[in-house]
Amino acid sequence: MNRIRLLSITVFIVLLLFSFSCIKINEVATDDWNAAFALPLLHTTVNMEDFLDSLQQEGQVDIDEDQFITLNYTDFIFSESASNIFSLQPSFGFPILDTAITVDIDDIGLNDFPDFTRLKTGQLQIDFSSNEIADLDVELQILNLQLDGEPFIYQFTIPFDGAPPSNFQTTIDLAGYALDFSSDLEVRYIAFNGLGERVWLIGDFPNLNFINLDYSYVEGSFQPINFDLPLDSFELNFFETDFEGMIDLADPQLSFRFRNSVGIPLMVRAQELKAETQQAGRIDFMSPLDNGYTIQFPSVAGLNVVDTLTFNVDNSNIDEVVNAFPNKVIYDLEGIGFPSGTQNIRGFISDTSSFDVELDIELPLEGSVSQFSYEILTEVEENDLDIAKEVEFKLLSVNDFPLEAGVQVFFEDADGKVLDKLFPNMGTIPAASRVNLAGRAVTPGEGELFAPLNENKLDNIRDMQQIRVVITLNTRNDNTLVETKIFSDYELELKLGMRITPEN
Amino acid sequence: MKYIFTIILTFSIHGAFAQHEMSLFFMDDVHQAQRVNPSHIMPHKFNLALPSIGLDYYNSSFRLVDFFRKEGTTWNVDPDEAISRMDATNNRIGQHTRLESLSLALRFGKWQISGWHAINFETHGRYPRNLVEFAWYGNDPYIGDTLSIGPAFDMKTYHEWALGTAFQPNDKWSFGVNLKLLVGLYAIRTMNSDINVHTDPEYYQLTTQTDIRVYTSGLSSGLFSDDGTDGDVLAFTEAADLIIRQNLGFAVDLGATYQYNDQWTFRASATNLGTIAWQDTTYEHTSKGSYTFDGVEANPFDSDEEIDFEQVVDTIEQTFEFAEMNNTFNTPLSPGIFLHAAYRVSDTYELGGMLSGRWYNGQFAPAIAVNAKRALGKHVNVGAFLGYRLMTGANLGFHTDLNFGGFQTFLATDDLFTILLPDYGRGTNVRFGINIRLGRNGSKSKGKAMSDAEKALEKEKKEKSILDNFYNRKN
Repeated sequence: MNRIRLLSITVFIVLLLFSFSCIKINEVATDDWNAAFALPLLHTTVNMEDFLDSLQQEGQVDIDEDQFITLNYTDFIFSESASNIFSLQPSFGFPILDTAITVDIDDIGLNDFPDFTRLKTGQLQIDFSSNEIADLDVELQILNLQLDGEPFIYQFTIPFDGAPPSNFQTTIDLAGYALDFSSDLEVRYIAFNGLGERVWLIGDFPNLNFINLDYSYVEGSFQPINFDLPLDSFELNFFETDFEGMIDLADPQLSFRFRNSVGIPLMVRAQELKAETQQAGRIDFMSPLDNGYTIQFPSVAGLNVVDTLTFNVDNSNIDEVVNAFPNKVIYDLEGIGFPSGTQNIRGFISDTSSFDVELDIELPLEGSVSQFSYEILTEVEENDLDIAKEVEFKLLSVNDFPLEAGVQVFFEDADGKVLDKLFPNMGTIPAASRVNLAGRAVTPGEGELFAPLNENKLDNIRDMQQIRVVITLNTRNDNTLVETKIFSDYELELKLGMRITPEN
Repeated sequence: MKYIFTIILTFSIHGAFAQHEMSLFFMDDVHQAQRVNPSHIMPHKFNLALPSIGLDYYNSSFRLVDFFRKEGTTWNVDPDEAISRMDATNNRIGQHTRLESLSLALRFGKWQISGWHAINFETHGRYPRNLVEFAWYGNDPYIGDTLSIGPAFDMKTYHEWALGTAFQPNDKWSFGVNLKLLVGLYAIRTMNSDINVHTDPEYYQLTTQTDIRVYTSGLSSGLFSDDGTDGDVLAFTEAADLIIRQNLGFAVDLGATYQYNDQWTFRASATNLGTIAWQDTTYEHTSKGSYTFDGVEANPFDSDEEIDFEQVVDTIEQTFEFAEMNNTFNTPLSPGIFLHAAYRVSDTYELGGMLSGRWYNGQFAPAIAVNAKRALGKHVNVGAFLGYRLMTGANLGFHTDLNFGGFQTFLATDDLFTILLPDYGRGTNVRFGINIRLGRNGSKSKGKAMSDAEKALEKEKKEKSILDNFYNRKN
């Protein structure tokens, strides 16, 4: 009995050990996990040059030795060739009524013909007829038609073909000849028959026809010449991005640069000059072109004269246009050669002359901005914050710019409906604290911004589809237009960190 | 991050069925006592141990109840109490599973020869408190501080082929030695594991410094690299490959027993003196450097640029980029030294005491225990001991062996308390086995300690003889 009792006790102990050894765990839960993590998210240094590069594609950022920035936009807008400005009367002709004639060129319809013309192309048609019953030897002289300074002399024979009248027709190539109409047209001919007798051709008078005339060079005084310039427009992609707010640049300039090798007085006049702007629609440009501008011209063929007409705040409303963020300039110009009052000026035109126009816009970054805003819209493919129970962002800024920035982040659904925003009011990045006499900020503004997203806010933005970041800029002393200069070495350094408490 | 806890949990709970070997010193009736002292000589000529298992677990820093809050069968991780109990740098957790396939001991007069085979699977981990704090609280509470979070992890799996002999030159002394050939299968050895993480208060930039050197054997290449291991962590898994490898080691156990008189017995031993040289599929993985992650560098004016926060993860991963080289390495076993004294109070009672020390990866873990044992009749011995181990604290051990004919069954644990209330313990072990013993020595040598069962039998015979004499005289 005693042994059985001992054995029973032992077996009981063994069973007890094994039964207690089995820890029953159906589930291990980590519901109490309440870790919080602090992570750096991103850092960036916003350089003024990079910012401007991002806004424009064709313009240029000029930085002077003081690091002062000027935005430049240059575009070639059109070129007008000499043939579009002046074309020669292509043909004229006259009979030779006597063996020597002097003709006023106005009488043969050449009143617009230049005083001096070097022909690039042209032909002279000679048409003579003879009633002699023998061959007739003829010498024709045209004193106003010259080659290398020598008057035109042409000798020929009108052959007798058995029955009068006998005819002679020929065409002479005049390329390279010069027509000098500075005096009356003088033409002579001398004809001898077989007996050596001088003959006067009557009945069918000889005829001279100049045809297919084109010039390589003309010179003289002209009547006013009206010519059309292109009706066109050019894009200004400085301001491609949508901005809002008020900007006041102190000294914007728009220049038309004329490169002129046409040696006559030329006037350009605006029939229409408008700007399409983001903020004010179409604005009429009021400028010196409204009443016409006479461009300087070269005194010697082959030279180019560059003349610049600048619109500035003194002679135009360019400040109004620029500050309304123009996207496009539309122009319709007309040209007038030898405008009134210049008829006594001798000018010249060569067939290689041209009249080119470039546009140059200069925007020195000096001025002030107020509530200048810029938006960035980013689609959210996956809401990374949906793992969070609480989040707090920390934004550090070191701002060289004399601009105070306001930041707001809107969390929106697919339709742009605002679900919530990051800051109750606009977050502020302080501006550089002081500007010296040269307009340069000397003490960076340092800011520290906290943006908590509590559980309620995170719930609100669970379904966000896009994030809209709105940045507003103001020069110091908000709403007071204090002119400030922007230098290329200004930087805005941003560092963003996050403290996050994930959900279990 | 919270999954780290699940891993720790799994590891801990599995370990909770194991035991730290202490009780074998007090079980001189089972021939497995030879594992802790090779000079132990059995009274039987033939001793055969059938396959048995020993499970050993320790956790130096906390009890499961400190780590969890129980709600029914759901255990909620709630480690505040555990963290408060942790050492700043040296928290250890580990297990040792030992499967003995077969063991035989034969006694020839004053000599005893034994041999056995076992497979050992050991894991030892060391972690700083910061690691758990980082995992549970995150780095947010430690902004401005530097957290040392590098854990060290060692693992080895190896065959143990042992041949032992014990010799008893006289009634007082016996000596023994076990020679063990070790064949390694898989190993991880961490030489350096410094990982420091500093969170800058400015905008929480993370600076990570690493100095990590880990050796592996039997594991696939690319274990720590971005390329990964193509899914196979183990380099070989075929049964044939698990028998013989090139990772050979040798270890020795030494022991001596001194029988001072009929009451006092003293034993001393040193075990697991040896190493394994790992040469098969070995890699040295190193990561050393410093890296500061200060966020993604963004260009707000580049519309093509996307800020992808996976870059953050990628960048952090780069911090832990490992170089891999083929290099051999050695791993020591966990050696131990033991002193044991037993005092026989009577034929059925014995008191004992033990001092021991073990080295786990260079960490010395001393222990002390006092034991009381009683023979319940001639078939059953039971014992209990109170122990204190530096690594796991106080423990209440229990051991018993049942002897019927040539069969012996034994069960032992170093901490009954942990067995009964697992979530309140920090370490225990369980050893269970069945032995066959034949050819008991009828004329025991003088001074040779009898087993409790034998002594109980002797006592019963003596009492019967006294009673017989008494009645004979009376009659």
